[in-house]
Amino acid sequence: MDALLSAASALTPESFGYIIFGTVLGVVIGAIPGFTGGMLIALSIPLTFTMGPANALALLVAMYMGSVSGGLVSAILLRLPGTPASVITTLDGYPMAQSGLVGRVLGLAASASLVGGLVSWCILVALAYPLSRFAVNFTPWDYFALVVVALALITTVSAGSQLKGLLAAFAGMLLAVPGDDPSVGMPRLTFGSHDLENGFALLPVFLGVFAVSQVIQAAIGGEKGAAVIKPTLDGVWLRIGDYRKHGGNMMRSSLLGTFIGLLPGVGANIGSIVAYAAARRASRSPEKFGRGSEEGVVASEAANNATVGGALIPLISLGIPGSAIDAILIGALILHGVTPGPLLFDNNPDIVYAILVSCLLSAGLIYFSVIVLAKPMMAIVKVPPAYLLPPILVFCILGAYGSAGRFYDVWVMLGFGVLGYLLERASVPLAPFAIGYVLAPLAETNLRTGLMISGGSAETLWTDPLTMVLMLFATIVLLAPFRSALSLSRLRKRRRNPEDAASSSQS
Amino acid sequence: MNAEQRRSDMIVGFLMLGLAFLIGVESASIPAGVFDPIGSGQFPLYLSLCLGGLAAIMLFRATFAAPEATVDAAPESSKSGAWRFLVLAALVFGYCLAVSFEIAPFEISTSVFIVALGLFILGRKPRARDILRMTILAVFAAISVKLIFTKILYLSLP
Repeated sequence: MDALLSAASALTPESFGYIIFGTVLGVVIGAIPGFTGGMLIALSIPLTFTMGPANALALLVAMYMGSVSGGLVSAILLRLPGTPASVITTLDGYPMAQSGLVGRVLGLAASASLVGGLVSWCILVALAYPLSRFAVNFTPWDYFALVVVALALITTVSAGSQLKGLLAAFAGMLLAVPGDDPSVGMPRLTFGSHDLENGFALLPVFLGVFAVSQVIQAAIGGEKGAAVIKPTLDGVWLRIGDYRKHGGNMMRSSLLGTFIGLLPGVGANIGSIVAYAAARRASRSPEKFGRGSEEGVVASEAANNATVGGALIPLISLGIPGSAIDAILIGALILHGVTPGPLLFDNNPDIVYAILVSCLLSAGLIYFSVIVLAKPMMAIVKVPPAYLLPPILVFCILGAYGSAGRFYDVWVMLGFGVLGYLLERASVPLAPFAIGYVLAPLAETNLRTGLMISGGSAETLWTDPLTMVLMLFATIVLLAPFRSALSLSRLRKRRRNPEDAASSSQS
Repeated sequence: MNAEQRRSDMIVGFLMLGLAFLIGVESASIPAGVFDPIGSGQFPLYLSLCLGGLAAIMLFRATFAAPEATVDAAPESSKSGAWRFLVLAALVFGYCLAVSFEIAPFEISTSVFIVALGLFILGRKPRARDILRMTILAVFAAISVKLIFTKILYLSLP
């Protein structure tokens, strides 16, 4: 009851307006291929400068939820996933739309998104506070080990090779280092530059990496088209029988998505892949997957929405981002003068409740937004990037300038934009880069504090139970891909020499 | 690995190696802390060593990876990509200079930039309809952006 009263006092009518606006905008932008939730949130941070932190986070979280779901519209109607999380939805959504079931598939996807959002919200409410109480007792070594786990996970599961994921993570961490030493407060690695004494500010870095890199890609790469289906919305409202038929799949996918999102460093696209694979294994007609299976669409959309709530759990309770977008949300918290971490519940409960209420409302709003706005969204989705990207670039330039009133930040943003473009061309994932950039100060501060406490000895990493478990887990996660490769090579050897395999099994 | 992937990997590999070297050398010159076991310089030094090692592995793989038996993109396409990047850089740099030195009023500089960049991204010979639409959009966007930043966000423009 106290929690509800706190939530009620934290949010004003203005807050609900921001949540509605953020959700609808997130859905619309998420539907446009090439525009990601990360880009929208990074671009929107300057808009939140005049808001209180609670309203700012409510808006940004609503955009986050909306953008993850918005990708399903273009995935289904254009075979172009609006966001990476909707890639799996394309596999079955587009074939269903092609066979004339546009309304049905949009209704299924929207309903699955709603269920996924609600299930993960319940788990978020149940787990966030207890986890934060547990995390208050963390030592600096525990925090350092947690950062190592987050980086190990994100580099292992990101798109592209693990080597490139690790490279991106270390590059992000290294570029966060110039500027003020977090322990001593003295500038370092400034190379004689007065501007670099404050390091590379968070907003220009994220605007550059997530937004400017896309502009560069479009300018150099050119536009691509896809066949457009004329949308009709017959069958968009599901019946009770449909929920009974797909309820099990929705719940399983939602739980899987929440658990995947809970793991620091893992995003919505991984959640949808895992849930899709699980749904196919459990299905009575797995051969339909990839050709227009309703179960495939339901699994993908329930999971990718559930990962949002799951990823918010470590963000709220530990201050560890669950994905690249969570890294940007942490950046937004820092820009508003709020310190993320387990004390967020104690020091800024209004922000926590704003996030929780935003999640809940957005889950419901997304359902109606997708169905009601499907036709108008099609008009926006067809707008060529040549019309959308130049104003976005102008907004980025002014946003970077406006953050501190100096052109240095604009050059930083453009530089990171070029870096982001080059990294993407080389298939180096950007999520580890963003997470490494955000976590570097946390890692360094806790490592140095831990060493000061232990008199320079790092033994605690292997003697403290929790720290040891976390470090072991990180080690297993980093080495797991190599173990799989070894197992596959043994399997291939057995297939080539079945006689040897048979004799070895008999003995 | 095809030639384009190899080229991209080599560029990023050298860039990361250079970054690691630059920061590593500077970090090594930072004196050790008095009460701090590792001081200000050790953490960035460790990071730059790790990044340098990974970049070296990436460069090694790019150099010695078996080439794919695919048809590579024509050299002209990579040249045209480089030219397009240079043109984009010139447009953005020109806009930033125009705005920071107030060569023209903000709305005019921004409108011209949006039209020029939009026509450039279009990638084909623009029709009169494209230019007209782009101009209307540019003027609307320039005025809107100025209003948002000055009247709503109370942020100063360059």
